[in-house]
Amino acid sequence: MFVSNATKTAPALPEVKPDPGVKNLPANELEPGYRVICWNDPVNLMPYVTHVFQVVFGWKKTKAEKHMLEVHHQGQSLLARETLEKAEFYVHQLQQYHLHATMERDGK
Amino acid sequence: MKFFHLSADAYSFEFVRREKQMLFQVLGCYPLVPVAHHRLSRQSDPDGGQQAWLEESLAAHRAETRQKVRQLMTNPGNFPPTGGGFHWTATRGDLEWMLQVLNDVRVGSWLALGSPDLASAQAGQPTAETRERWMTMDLAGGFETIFIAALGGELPAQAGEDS
Repeated sequence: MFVSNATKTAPALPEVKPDPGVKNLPANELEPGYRVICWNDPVNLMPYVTHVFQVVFGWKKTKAEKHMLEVHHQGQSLLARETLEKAEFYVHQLQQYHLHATMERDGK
Repeated sequence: MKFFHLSADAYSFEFVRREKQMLFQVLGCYPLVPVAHHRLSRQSDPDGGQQAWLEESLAAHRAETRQKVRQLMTNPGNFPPTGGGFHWTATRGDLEWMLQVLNDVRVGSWLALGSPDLASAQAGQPTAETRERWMTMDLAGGFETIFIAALGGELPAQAGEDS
């Protein structure tokens, strides 16, 4: 790393305050502990479900189709296991497309 | 309907008059799914806060999308006439919100029909009262299938408009 002789003192670092929202979350809510599940229903078309999985999760078509077929044949598919915030985000995205998706706490 | 894939992010469709009417018929129904229809979790939400957040978020998104639908349908420049009908050129982003709108109408129509099991022979036959709902639901699904195929590169594209 190049260090200039012209600078003899380190620049002042900005003060970083902790996000009070994060600080107040219980420790267990910061850990991956929520399952994002897509449930089967009679109305959502299979190509549509596959497409939404690709868009929301960035999956390739083969992986998206695998989860779609799980939903179709087994009634549900575990799409992700995430922190509270991330799980909420995914469920929100899936529900904007009107898929039947929920988040469930692990172990319950 | 004809499809022209103009560039990486330009998808052009040519509708005949009747197809445009059908698309507008479906879009005009939006939104149909009640905001409270979606549940964040099947587990209990003691203070209802998380569910309320979800509903608020979905409602805001819906209001924004409604505006897009209104603009699409009311600005004649969006569907310039051609010799064969009307053109509509969309970005990938346009097609994504269009898919959300179409599926809202599809799912909402299904809910209004009493959530029949569509795979079952007992799903019921359309009556004079429900025929339009069934048709709207099917139309929405038909347009979804076309736009998804276009996005996935599975729809045969016509030769370029300028070629």
